[in-house]
Amino acid sequence: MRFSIYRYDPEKDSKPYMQELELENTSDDMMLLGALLELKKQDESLSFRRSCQEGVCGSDSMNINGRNGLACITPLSELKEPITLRPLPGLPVVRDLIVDMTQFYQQYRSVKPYLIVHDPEPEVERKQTPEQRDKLDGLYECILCGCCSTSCPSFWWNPDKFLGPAALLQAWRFLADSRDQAEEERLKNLEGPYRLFRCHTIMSCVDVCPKGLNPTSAIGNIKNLMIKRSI
Amino acid sequence: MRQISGLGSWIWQRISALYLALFLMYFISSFILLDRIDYNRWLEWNTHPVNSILLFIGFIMIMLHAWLGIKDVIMDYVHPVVARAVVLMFFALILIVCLVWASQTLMMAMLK
Repeated sequence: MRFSIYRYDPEKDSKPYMQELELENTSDDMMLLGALLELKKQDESLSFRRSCQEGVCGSDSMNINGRNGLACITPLSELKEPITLRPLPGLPVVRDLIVDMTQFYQQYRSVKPYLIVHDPEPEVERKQTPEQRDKLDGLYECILCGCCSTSCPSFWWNPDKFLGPAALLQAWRFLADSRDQAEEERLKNLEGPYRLFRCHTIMSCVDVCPKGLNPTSAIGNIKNLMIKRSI
Repeated sequence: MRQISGLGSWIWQRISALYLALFLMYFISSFILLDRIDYNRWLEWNTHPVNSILLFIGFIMIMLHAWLGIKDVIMDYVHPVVARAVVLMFFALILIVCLVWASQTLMMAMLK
């Protein structure tokens, strides 16, 4: 199988280049990450992140044939040759397929992705009805791989000011949580022309999410809540 | 001020879009329903009290919609503060001139 892989080592290379690589003995049930690990045996300097190898940790997100995804759950058999691998778009490249996710995490942190409760701590756990719990389905599963935010044109143009789909999905995850008591504070944090409203409903985020989540609908829910609150 | 540029503009973009969609349907269907169209019929329709008010609101809505749209595009792509201010003022000026011109035309037609 033929591969074309983005290579850049800032200590050696003056600019990035695409490296052509061949891999023999690939099996039908092999995932892309398996192939990358084989390629790394050929060229040890090839760098990429990976950890769990089963789509749970979100480390090996990359741009695969022009589409963001996780290498470990992308079957080789589904990819057209030459398989072109690039780092996630829009973020600074550290080396080869590794990007600096600082901006992504900063936006995530800024939505306060944890429960804020003003009431005194109860003696037993904070209870939810099954219906209240159901509202968190499709929100809590995010693994922060960054595929959505780095496929979002609005995030490319304003990564410092626009929160991006991943952080906005988490903003809604805590707004939707019956146990959270900071609704007003959270909504206030999302006001202004940039943080939430740079979203133009392009829906690339929904298209690429490897977990099948829908940040666009979460953003819509936040807007609806804002409207309800302002009336 | 923050309201205007965030939630406010988002809501107004939708209100103006809805108004224009409905108004355009009314506008086009009024002329389809006429058996023939000539200058006098056109003048008559546009200077009818109800129509002229709807048309004038339509002018405002189309300028508002264009302003909010172009502002979004400029905020996405034009980052240097001075360049952004110049481009925004350029479009604001064009839209204001268009609005004044359209209103003036309507007013003159009504005074005829």
